[in-house]
Amino acid sequence: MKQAYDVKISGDDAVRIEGLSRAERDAIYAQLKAQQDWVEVVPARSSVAVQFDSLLTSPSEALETITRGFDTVRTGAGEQTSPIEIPVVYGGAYGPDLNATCEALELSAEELIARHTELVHRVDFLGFTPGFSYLYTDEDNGFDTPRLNRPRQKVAPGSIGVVGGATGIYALAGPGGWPVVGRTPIQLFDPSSPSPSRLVSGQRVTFRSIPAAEFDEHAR
Amino acid sequence: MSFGILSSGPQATLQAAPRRRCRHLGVPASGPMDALSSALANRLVGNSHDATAIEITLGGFEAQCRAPMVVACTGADTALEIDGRSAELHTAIGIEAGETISVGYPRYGCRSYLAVAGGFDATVWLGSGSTYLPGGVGGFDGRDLKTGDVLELQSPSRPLPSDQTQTPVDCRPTMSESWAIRACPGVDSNDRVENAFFGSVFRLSNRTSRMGGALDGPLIPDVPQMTLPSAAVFPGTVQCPPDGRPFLLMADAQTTGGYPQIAQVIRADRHIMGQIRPGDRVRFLRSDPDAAADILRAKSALFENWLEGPFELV
Repeated sequence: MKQAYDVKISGDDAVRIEGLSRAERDAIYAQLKAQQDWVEVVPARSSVAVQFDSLLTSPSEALETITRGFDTVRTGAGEQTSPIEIPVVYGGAYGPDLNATCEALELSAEELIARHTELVHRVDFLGFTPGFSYLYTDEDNGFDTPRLNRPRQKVAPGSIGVVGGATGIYALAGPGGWPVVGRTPIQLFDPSSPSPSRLVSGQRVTFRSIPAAEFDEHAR
Repeated sequence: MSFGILSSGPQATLQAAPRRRCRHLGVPASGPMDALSSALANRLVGNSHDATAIEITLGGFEAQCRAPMVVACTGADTALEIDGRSAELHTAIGIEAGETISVGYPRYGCRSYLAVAGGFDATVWLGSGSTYLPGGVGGFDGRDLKTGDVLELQSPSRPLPSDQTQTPVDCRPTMSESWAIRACPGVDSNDRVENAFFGSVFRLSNRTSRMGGALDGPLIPDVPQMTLPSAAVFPGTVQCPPDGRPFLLMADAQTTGGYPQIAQVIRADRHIMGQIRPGDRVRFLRSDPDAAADILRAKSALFENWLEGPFELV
């Protein structure tokens, strides 16, 4: 693995490996997850964080064990799973920030929706809150929008936000700082399921625009 | 056996062992905000440290015991009453059927832990009975307790300790309105940020919850302004957005974030975060990872005899 990454200690019980490419991040995440030594292994955009039990392992020991395997890390091409299709009602009450986002990007609503639905998106990682997924596209998508100046107190479950080229899907209701362009009726987080999150890292996704009148019939 | 809630105060939730190995799904640890006090309460009534107890925020709590039971209350410095009679914190107390327990508004500190022998029944989600309020899962149907709720008790799983029914005095955490917590410089920090952060006195803002709280006080200069990629955060992480107002993350905080991480509270001191209430003064004392690991070992050793083993710290 190339040496452009950086390793930092956070407090006495966490380590962050940053500056990783997507392939490096996936490979390191898989390697560390398999080690079973760690309290938490958390992937993010270009980093992997490890939390360990600092009563059992000192920070320098953890650092040594974590980085020891990096020489043997092999980055793969990544699986090409078939994309799942997510129905979305764009705009109106379901996407209250669609118009503002279109204005900021100088696109019509039709152009934005066409672009968003023609791309293949990929779940890069889960985080923030249960089931929230961060999706990116391999090609540049042009959705370079900032977060809301003030987060919304309550975002409906299934809300789809766009920030800085990424699409985020809120699985649960809660506060949210991403401009919301649409909503999906699909339940993305089921606490009663052994795999509670419908979307997993690496999952490829396409979006399909549906009329508001059909929102309920697509719920599942 | 059952336990009826008469009044819940500002927020009372069931908390047990933290939820582990779930952060990659966006699921935080939750669990007691002051894990040390919760362990001490459970110890008094003969439970394992992480048995389900009630976390009471800023008092106002009253309940009726509908069967005989043994309880203990620790944490914030409050008045405790059994059927209107004054009772002591850090003490295992036998309750008769029909008697009421009330936990008053604290003089110092923020959260009280009420444990019962055998523990309370809780909905388990992803391996933990702790309540995660933003997700509506765990604990009592995923929500905070309200007047009229009835809790069930599990049967006592081990014999009650016959002696030592009080926490030794030197094992009782001191409550205050002015807190000093040890933290290491964060992964996104720099010298100017550190000098400002570790030299300042903040007050915990009213904008606070189990997810964390804003720190009111001097603004932090020279915080990195560019948009950082989202990265993992943990309880005890201090984030600072470009506007210079830091935010201290706690038990229910989100698992990733894009704001600069300027400090990380050491594991040994994270239980203190659960006792800071809005308006209290807080300052952060600079530590380093190795010193922090030593402090953790020393603190753990202090409590190990009384607690009969190391206790879980989030």
